[in-house]
Amino acid sequence: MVLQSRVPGVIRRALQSLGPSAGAIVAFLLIVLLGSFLAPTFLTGRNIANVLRQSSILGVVAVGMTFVILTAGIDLSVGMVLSLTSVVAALLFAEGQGLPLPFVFLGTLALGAAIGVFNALIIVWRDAAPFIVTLAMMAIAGGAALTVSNGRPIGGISGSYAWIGAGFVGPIPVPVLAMLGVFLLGALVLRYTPYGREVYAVGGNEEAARLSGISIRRVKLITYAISGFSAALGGIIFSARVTVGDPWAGRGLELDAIAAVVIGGTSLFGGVGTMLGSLLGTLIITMINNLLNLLNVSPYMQGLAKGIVILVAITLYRKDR
Amino acid sequence: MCRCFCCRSMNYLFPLVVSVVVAFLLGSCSSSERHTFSELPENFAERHWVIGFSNASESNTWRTALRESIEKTVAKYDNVDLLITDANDSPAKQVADLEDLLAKGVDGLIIGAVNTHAANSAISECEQMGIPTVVVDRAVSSDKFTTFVATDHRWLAATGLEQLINGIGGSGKIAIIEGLPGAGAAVERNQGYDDVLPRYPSINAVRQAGDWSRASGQRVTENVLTANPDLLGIHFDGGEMAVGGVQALRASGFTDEELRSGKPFLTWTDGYNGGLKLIKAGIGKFSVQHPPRIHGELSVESLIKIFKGGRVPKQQPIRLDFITLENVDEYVDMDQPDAYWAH
Repeated sequence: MVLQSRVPGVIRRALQSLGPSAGAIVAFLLIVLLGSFLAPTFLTGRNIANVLRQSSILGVVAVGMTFVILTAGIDLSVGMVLSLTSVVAALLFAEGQGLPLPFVFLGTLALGAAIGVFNALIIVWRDAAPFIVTLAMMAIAGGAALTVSNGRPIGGISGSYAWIGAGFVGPIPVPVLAMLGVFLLGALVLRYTPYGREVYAVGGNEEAARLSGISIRRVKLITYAISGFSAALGGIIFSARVTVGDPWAGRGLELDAIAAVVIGGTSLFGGVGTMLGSLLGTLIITMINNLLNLLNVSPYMQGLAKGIVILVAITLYRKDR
Repeated sequence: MCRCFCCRSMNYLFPLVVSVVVAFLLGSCSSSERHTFSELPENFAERHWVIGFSNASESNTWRTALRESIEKTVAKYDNVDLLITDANDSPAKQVADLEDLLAKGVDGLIIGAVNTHAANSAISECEQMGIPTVVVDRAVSSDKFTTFVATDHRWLAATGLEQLINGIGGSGKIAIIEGLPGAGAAVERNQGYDDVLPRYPSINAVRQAGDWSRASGQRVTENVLTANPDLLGIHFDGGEMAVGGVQALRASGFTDEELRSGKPFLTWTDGYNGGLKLIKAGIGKFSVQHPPRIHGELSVESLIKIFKGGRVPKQQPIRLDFITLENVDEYVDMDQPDAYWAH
């Protein structure tokens, strides 16, 4: 994806050198500029910390979603997997009879990854469309979350579990640190590991990738496992931040995650995109919500405003690649 | 694809096995027989009765508590069965749910309406078929229902907000964290806030939606506090959002001492146990609740009374409880989790 050709040549070339995330960088800067102009408190340290903390859950989910969309797939189950894992983690912690915290987290993350592997097995085995497989998993995980929690939030989260949501390392909130760490890890895996290059190859042209000896099955298996894993990490961060596991935690989050990844310049057709773009996309979506609150925009109009800003961000890209 | 015999046969076996298992599971859940409604009053104890409950959603714990209280009340009667549907906040789903319940055959319906219109056609159909309908909590625009176990959301909201305004001395800047935009009860309650605010011209109110969830309440309070550091008070349209809001206040440096001294002054609506614990701690100053369990009990008992040949009034307003530090012990249960609801 490249920028609109109407932009003057010098700027266009400068932006093109930024790669597929150029549009996201421009949109990000525009919103920061607009925000600081409209709301005096927008660029204060406290509000920046708020935006970063509020974006942490969406952010970790968007990392997994980036991998999936780069392979030309989609994972609609992440929101409900986040709901389910937030409830499971809270239950393990509150009713696990003193189960050590690392085991609570490992069990929860393993559940997320296992759901991802199951998605991938059906997708690979039946050559099924990821859209419908993960749609089914979305219903299953959502139902499971309501069933195990009996429809109510599970409380009792305290101590070092709650610290993950509310604590600080130096001046940086822990969830922000977790999000940035996951983004960095994701970017390194994409750029420097053979698997990362294979993700781009599979998304760019699956048949060509297969003929060049890449195991499509293995790539997809790992990719959906990463997606489930990151959704489970989101579930842990959610439950730590809100101090309850909530069967409605991730409702609609899958769409925000997809929007964040696509705003970040990753093509829904696969093969093109960066982790930096997804980070910016996540921040853009969170900043829009934050700004609408700061500006006291009517709640009825907020969806309208959010949709328009997303559309404007998308039009910064040209339709052909 | 693997072409060995094992994998090829799995292609047919897997869907087959899955459908058999699913059919079995569904079959074991729906064991109730079909009933036809008789015009003649019969002896209540002599036959089997089925009550259908169409819940608007279970997306907040108030509605879960309502469902549980309906289940518990029905369980007191051996000869009454309960069918429950969950519309997931979708009007289209509720229309379908009600059609399904009527097709299955119910003797009475309890409707927790998604909005003012979704249930109307089913209510009319019930009236023609002679099936009694109880509308619970949220109002519908049809008048063909048998009885309305009602909460006056408009008044409930207005009462809570007035307590906040009185608490800060009648003037200054406040925030109202509203419920889910567009949901029936939220629309009615927002009207309640609209009623109150013009009467206090020296009150400047910031209004944002916290969607009745703890996470949104926390996030929106953070943002509202950042934009308006001079807030004198916050009114939450629900205790669950209030718990999130207090977390946000503490995270941005307010001590429990300050909160207890009314800086900022905090009020909310409903009897969510997590919120009541904060009132017990002196942090929240006031809540007005419409207890879900009373709604559930009264809805079921109204139907039973009709089954027995009795009559119930068309409007049955539910009492509202005003909860402060003085009387909070009557409502709060410190041993129960946050998601428990007071009587």
